[in-house]
Amino acid sequence: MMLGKIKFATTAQILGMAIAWAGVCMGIDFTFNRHLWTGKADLPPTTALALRINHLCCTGCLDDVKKALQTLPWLKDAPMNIREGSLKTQEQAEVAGPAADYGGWLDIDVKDANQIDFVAIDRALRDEGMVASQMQFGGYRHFRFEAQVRHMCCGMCKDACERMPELAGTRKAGGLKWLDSVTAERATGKVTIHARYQEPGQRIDAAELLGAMDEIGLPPFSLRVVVSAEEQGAPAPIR
Amino acid sequence: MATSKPESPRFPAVSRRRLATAGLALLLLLPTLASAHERFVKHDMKKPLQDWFFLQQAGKLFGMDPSMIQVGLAVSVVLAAFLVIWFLREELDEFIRNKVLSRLGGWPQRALHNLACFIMDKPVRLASFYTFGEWSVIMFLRSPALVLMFAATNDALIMPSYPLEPSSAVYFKFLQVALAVLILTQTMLPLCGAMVIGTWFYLFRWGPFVAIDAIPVLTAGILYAMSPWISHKLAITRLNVDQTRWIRFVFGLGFFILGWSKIYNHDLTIGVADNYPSMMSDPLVGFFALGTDPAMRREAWVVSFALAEVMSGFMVMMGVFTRLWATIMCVMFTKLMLVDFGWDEIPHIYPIGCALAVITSNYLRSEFNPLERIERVMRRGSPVKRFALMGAFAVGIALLAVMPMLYFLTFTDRSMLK
Repeated sequence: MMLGKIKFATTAQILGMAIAWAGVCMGIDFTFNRHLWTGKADLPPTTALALRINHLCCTGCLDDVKKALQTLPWLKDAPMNIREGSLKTQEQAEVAGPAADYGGWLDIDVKDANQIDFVAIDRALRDEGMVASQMQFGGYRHFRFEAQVRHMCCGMCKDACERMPELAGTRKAGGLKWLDSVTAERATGKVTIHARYQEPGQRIDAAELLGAMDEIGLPPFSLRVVVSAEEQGAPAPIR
Repeated sequence: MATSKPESPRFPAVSRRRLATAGLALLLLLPTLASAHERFVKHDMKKPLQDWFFLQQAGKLFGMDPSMIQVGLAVSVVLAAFLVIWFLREELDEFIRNKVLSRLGGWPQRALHNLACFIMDKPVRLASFYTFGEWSVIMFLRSPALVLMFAATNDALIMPSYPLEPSSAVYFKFLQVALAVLILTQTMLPLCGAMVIGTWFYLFRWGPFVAIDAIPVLTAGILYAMSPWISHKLAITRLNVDQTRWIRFVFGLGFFILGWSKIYNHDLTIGVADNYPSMMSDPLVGFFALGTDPAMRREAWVVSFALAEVMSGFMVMMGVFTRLWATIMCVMFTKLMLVDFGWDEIPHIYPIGCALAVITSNYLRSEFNPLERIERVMRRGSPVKRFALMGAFAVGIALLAVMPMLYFLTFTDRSMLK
């Protein structure tokens, strides 16, 4: 077998090639990921609640969404903004051609997070003929949800609630990553869903949770956010 | 066939200075933007830590929390003990040979002798050990290719915890596969080494923590970079002296720096532990945290856990009981992969390969050669004086390795981690 002379690369050659390769990687990154170099954030940092309305093509749709949400006392005067900036008027939409996406995001500034009830939001929207596929909530480092279920007749119901993280297909499919644990009280029908400690800017999707509760067959009639003083970042007393 | 670059027993002084400068520069980069993320290993904290524990506190000795100092000193003591044993290991070896092995015969004598050689990083002259060493080098040489393929199929760069941006994913995925093919076919390994090192340079674009997390990847880069250009024609089955030394040093350095970054980014450390509570019951870590403030249990655990990694990284980096510590790391990685984190940590297969290649090398050297030379010279004189001097060296080195950096970290700004 002809081996030829065994040659090794010099340090300068290795460094040169390594730097050139890093340049290639940077070049690909800069060329194809321009949005990452502009530093624009995808989400407004201060909004506590964001709804993905599956159909929001014009101002007419928006009016109905707002009308639906304003039936909830805690959202009556809340500022609501379309994330995309503006929508077509009904007249413009009348003559517009097909679109790739007919939905949109609505960002809502809620004054008191403890008043948010996601079941009420869902019901109000459906009553008006609209629906939100995602209900994102964030801005707090730690919080929990309290759901009220009507049916919890036995220990197995309680068990099913508490085992929701492992039973729900949503979790198995990679969803509900924020969920830490669930505790259920049989006497009151209260289900407490503990969220994990959140990074600033991180958001969770309450619609995913409602879906998971439907999946285990125990749909809540209310799903409230509970943000206590201790859980907004103050040191936890229990160790 | 071993690839045989002329074997030089020492790093040139210039290289060492460069390495030290690079290491220092890397540490200075710590307070910049951190965007390392663990996509698969869960790291959400259940309860927040007391941040002030890790920072300067008025009215305290050196401004450090007493529990933090206590853990630092406990780690220094253990490190010093290992160093003393290392410096005086010839004495121990002599004792084993003259007082223990001489009374035995046959296979028990040979087995004990080989075990002593293994622990003291001396050449192990066993055919099975040699064969296993050859296999380990082949595994270390090729396993990064599997990791690259795995990353490509998971839309990630090198490790699954570095997800690729969808807009550029396809290019990086193809490039990773191309690199993996070059590695698997052993084609132009120096180019592969440069590509691995270059990719590591690129990781700094995502923040220093990502690059720090990936330092162990450099060990594979070094192996390739130090291989011959006609690598495809050779069976590379042994590491030479230089390869062993560089790979061992960088492998240890990676853990040394990762340990410090665990204290700096304490929320991430406790977050992973919160999700995998079995990590909290490590006996060595528990020992370091003994006697610390019970109200600061979680904070003391973070410091103990991180310093255990600093200590093991330091010993591997400096070549002190390399085989022993690399074996512990090997067991730890295997446990993490098979027991704690499961499939998500399958890329740990390449550091296991690296550790095995180092463990089975018969070219292990320590970076404390000058001190060992002093010890050898002093053997003719008083043993008390020799023991005292070696003890003083050991304590000094241990304290220098742990305490200044621990103190320095209490001044660092962690606001960019939030």
